Amino acid sequence: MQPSMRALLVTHGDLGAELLATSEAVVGVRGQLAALSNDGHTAASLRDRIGQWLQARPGPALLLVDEASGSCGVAAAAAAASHADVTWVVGGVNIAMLVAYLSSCSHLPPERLVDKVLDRGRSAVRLVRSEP
Amino acid sequence: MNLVMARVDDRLVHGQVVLGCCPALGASRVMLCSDEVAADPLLARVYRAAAPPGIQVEILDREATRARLSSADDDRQPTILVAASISDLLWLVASGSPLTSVTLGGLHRRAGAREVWPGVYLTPTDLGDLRQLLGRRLRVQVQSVPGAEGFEASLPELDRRGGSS
Repeated sequence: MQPSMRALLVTHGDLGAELLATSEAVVGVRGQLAALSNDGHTAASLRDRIGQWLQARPGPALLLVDEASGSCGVAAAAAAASHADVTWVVGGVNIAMLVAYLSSCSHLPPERLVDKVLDRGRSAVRLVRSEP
Repeated sequence: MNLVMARVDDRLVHGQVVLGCCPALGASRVMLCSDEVAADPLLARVYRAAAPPGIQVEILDREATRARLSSADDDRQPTILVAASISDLLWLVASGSPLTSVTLGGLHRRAGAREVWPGVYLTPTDLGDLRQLLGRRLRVQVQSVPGAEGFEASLPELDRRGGSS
């Protein structure tokens, strides 16, 4: 099944590849999401690389980044702002968000998919307290 | 102007700057010196919007940066200056900006560049520019963020670390 929109995970170092591998193992699907590292990139070259990925295929797209205020978030926002199609940029990516995307990208429309990714991501951030 | 750091970083405004340097130095403003970003309203808006709460991003081209740094106003807001390249920093210094030190925080892989420190690659042109900055008695540090390991740059030191052309 084709996803309703493409998604690219943009992170520092190997974080994206590791998050993606773990999330794919959880869901049991592969190849629905691409990961890009900021390693070795300047602000301009990372922005250009994301722009190339967006240009490669028309249609809505989702850019998931680790730190919205960081190089990945800024480059993704800049590339999205220059892109003709609807592009969402979501910061603070975690495994729950990737699992939500991978498990729902083939049957939810883009807007609802983004809502679900955000909702699952927020829900996953919580205090786990163990009583002494 | 209360300049707490002058930094060269080709990632411009990013995590090491707004989450690393600003809190460590008590800075609440980042002054980005970039002709490219200053000339692109869309890009400028993205950089301003990306800053976390409490951090103001001001975007100026080189000439406007020189004017701000040289003005005798009583602006006390702690500010980090970020330039995209050593040549931008050298231009500011050569045109009269009162800078006394610079931190090389991040210069990534480019053609002809050699790594002198993790995340800091220098080209022969960079080394020539650094030679001029050092000749103007600027203090040059190589360090990603305050508190991290780094080193005080001199040309022999840079040559020793593999930056010689």
